[in-house]
Formats: sequence, C-alpha cells, structure tokens
Amino acid sequence: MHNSVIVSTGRYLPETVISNEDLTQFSPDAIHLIGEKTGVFSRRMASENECTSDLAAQAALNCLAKVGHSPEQVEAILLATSSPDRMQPATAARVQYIIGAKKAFAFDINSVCSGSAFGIALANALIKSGYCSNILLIASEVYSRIMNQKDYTTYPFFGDGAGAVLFQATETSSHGVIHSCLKTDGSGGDIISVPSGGTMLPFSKIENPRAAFFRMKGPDVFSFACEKAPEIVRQLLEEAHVSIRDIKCFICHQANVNIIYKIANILDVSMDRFFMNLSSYGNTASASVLIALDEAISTGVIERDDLIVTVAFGGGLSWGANLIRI
Amino acid sequence: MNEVFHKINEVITDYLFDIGNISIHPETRLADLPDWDSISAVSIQMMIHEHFQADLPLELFHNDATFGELMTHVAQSHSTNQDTLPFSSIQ
Repeated sequence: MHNSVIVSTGRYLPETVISNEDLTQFSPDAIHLIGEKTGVFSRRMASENECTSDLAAQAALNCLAKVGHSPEQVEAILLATSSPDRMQPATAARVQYIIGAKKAFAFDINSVCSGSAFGIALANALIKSGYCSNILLIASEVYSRIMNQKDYTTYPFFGDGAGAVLFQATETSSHGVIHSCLKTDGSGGDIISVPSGGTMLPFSKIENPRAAFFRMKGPDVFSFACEKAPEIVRQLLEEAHVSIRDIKCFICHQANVNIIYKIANILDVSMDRFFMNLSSYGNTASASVLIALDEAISTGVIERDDLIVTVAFGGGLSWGANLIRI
Repeated sequence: MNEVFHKINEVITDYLFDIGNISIHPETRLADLPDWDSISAVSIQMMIHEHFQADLPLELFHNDATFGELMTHVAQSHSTNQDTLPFSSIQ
C-alpha cells in the first residue's frame, strides 16, 4: 500500500486588506468587540473580478511552482469549498482549466469549514487505493460574496483566501497522512447554512432576501466546536497509538481565537503548539487549515519529520482530524 | 406603539439567528432573548439604525434594557435631531 506524502503546499490571499476599522457599516463602539470576541483584526477580500476558482488557481500554481511540478502531471484536483463559483458545474472544473491540468479529473467537496479535513482524508484514500499517484487538494473560499455586509453575526469574522497541498504516492516513506477521523451530525444542519438557492428553498420562492446569505448560530457553533474538536483529536491519537506529547503543532480551523483557546485548554496543550493566523485573515472557512499549514511550513514553524494534527469543524454539522508526518 | 412592535417582530429574525417563540413587547428585556450576548446587542443596534433611523450608543443595549426603553430613546433621538419622522411612517 502507498503512503500519501505532502510534497508541497501553497496559498493565495487577495491583496485587499480590510481592517476592523474599515467596517464602517457598524457603529464605532461595535468595532472593538470584533477583535475581543473573535481575535480577528483584519481580513482579505477578493477583488471584483476574482471568484473562488481564481483564488484556488493561484494557490494551486503557487503550490506546484515550489517543487516544479507541472500542472499537466496532476492526476486529480479536489477542491473544498462552500462558496462555489456557481451552483453547477463544480468549481474544481474551472480550476482545472485555468491551471492547465489537462489530465486531471476534478470535483468539489462541500463540508463547509471541515472541507480540509475531509479533503485530506479523501486524497489519502485515493492514493492509498492506488487510483492516483498524485492529488492536488485545494480549499478556496470567497465568503465576502455570500454574506450580508450588514450582518454583524457573520460579516466581521470571515475572510477570503485559498490554500493548496500536493500529495504524492510513495511506497517507502513513513511520512504522510497516518490516520484520519471524520464525523457528521446532520441534525445540526440549520446551525450553519445558506438557507436558499438550493432545492429546499429555490430563489423563486424567497420571500426574505436575507435568506440568500450565509447564516450562523454563533453560540451553538461555539459549543459544538469546543466539544467535538478535542473529542476527535483524542480519538485520532488513540486510534493511531500516538501520544499528544509527540505532536509538534496543531493546525486548527481558524474560526475564533476563543474556540482555539478552549480546545487547547481541554486538550491540556499549550497555545504555542497551536498555529494561529486568525488575526490577519479571519475565518477563511475550509481554506483556513491549508493556508495555515502552508504558512507554518514556509515560516519554519513546521519542519520535515514533524508530527502534526489538523482539526476542523463546521457546517453539516461536520468535523474531522488528520494525523500527518511532514 | 403597536405598529412599532409589529415591525420589530417582523424584522428581528433578520438580525438574530433565532429568537425562539418569544414575541417582542415593550417590557421584553434584551436578556430575555435566547443566546443574548454582545454580538446580539450590536445586531439589535443595527436593526434600530436600519429600520428606525436612529443611532443609539451600544451602552444602551445592556442586559436589563427593555425594547420599550430602546424605543423611547429612538423617539428622543428623533426629537433631538428635529427629525419629525413619526413611527407610523417607519418603513
């Protein structure tokens, strides 16, 4: 059986930086609360002519260029996104076209903010099965287009961005994805959602335009994340027979600084082992883990041979974790 | 005032994710709303700004404040600003 090793990572953050003070639709006395409640002080915003596939393509090209891997050699593109270009076709198909990965099949994964966790597990399974010898996993989001700019419960906390990872099959290495755990609880499907635009509430039936925007029940998300993320990390490590002390770095979904503090506290792990970039980019949904992974590797926080855990949670409800040796 | 509270009940779920079965009356306290927190306070502040054309300071949206008190502040704000917009014309 093959192992799937990470041979490269990449990211793309749009140039436009939006600070909390730029959010003038909210009252000045509400601005300081954004950083206090979430740890977000600025975020990136896609330009008018950029959509999810454009960000994904830039992250992908950045990832491939680092190791001189031609797009034409890519066998499969898995794109995690919950803010796709269009209802159909798959956003991954446009990415395949933009980057020129002519031989790759491509499809989307919508596990909302857990997309990276599901994508890593799926890429690993496809490689382990022998179906692919390399896979480009991308996660890309443009939440600025699916949120109501005047909704204080969502708009200040999210940002746009994309991350990418190139997995390669290897027969000999002990590196790569070691173990994954994935979970779903569909009973919580209304806690995080874009209520309309699908077959449940088609656009033709929308009475309230706000139903077209992303909505999130923050307190429920907080409770869910703080319960399930530590639980699945413990399960992951137990099943892999790995001690939590051996984990060099935790790459957690960058949802909210207080959620990450709580998870670290429950796991009894110091915060300096949790990589953080939330203050600069906000919550980039499925992209946050892959962006953080690339940043942690490129800044030397994570080095070759390090054992890391990625953990993500989000709409569905869904959550997942991966144990990886870099 | 009935018209004002009819309006509040009509639009409040646009600003707060879920208010359960609560109907908003003048004596309803902000803290009576499910999952009430500082994020909810800003959301109600936004609702008043957009639907009642009044910019009230966030400090007025404390746990014990009632919707009746907030609407009094809205009326005072209009009066102070010599804004003659009556509640009956609220969009």
